[in-house]
Amino acid sequence: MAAAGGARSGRRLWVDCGPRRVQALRDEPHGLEILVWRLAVGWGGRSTGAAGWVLPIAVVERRGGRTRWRPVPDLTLAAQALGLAAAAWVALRPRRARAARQRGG
Amino acid sequence: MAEQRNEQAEEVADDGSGYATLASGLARLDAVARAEAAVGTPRSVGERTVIPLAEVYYGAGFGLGQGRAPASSEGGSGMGGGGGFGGRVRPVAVVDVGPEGVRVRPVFDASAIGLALVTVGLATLARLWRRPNPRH
Repeated sequence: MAAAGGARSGRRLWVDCGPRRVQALRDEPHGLEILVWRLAVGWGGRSTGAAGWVLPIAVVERRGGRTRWRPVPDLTLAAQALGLAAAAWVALRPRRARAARQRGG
Repeated sequence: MAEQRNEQAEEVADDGSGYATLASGLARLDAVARAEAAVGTPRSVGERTVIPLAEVYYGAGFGLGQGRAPASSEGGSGMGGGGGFGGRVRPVAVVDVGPEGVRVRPVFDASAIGLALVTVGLATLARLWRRPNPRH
């Protein structure tokens, strides 16, 4: 799942994005894997830098022949996203209502 | 992908810009955001095992510049550079493995959630207390 934008030709910019599986616990015949999402960007040249982000998204449990998936709940991220959406809605709502009134009459 | 980054570091070094050490260090720095970095070391207590899960992010950048005074003047040349790094690890959840099975327990970060609520509150107050437009 790695996409290297320009990494092969000029190697000035690379992007590595996609899901990864990490073996967290191995107790045969059971096993526990964590599915994480990874995004990393880097650039090079006269200035060089990199930025990355890794977020666990699911827990995969293997017990015998069965596989169970459990999402990783991120209450903080959910609350922040809701807060941001609510703030944007509060900030933009009157403008839209005024624009609708002007269009109507 | 790691090979590509090492190639990138070598290429920067080939530029003759003199910051090969920084570039190769940056290639290694990317290891901070490996997928494994989000999964903590399992700890066993009695029959239970807990595995912490975290969100990891980082950013780093380095730059270098050099210049030379015009030939008409008596000035010389100079060079300078700078860089910075920042990163954060935020606990997200804990995997609890016990005799009854696996449970994923979320971590409640009251400070971050409180800040989100304050943001909404401030946005609402700013909208409510805004002066009416005198033209309408």
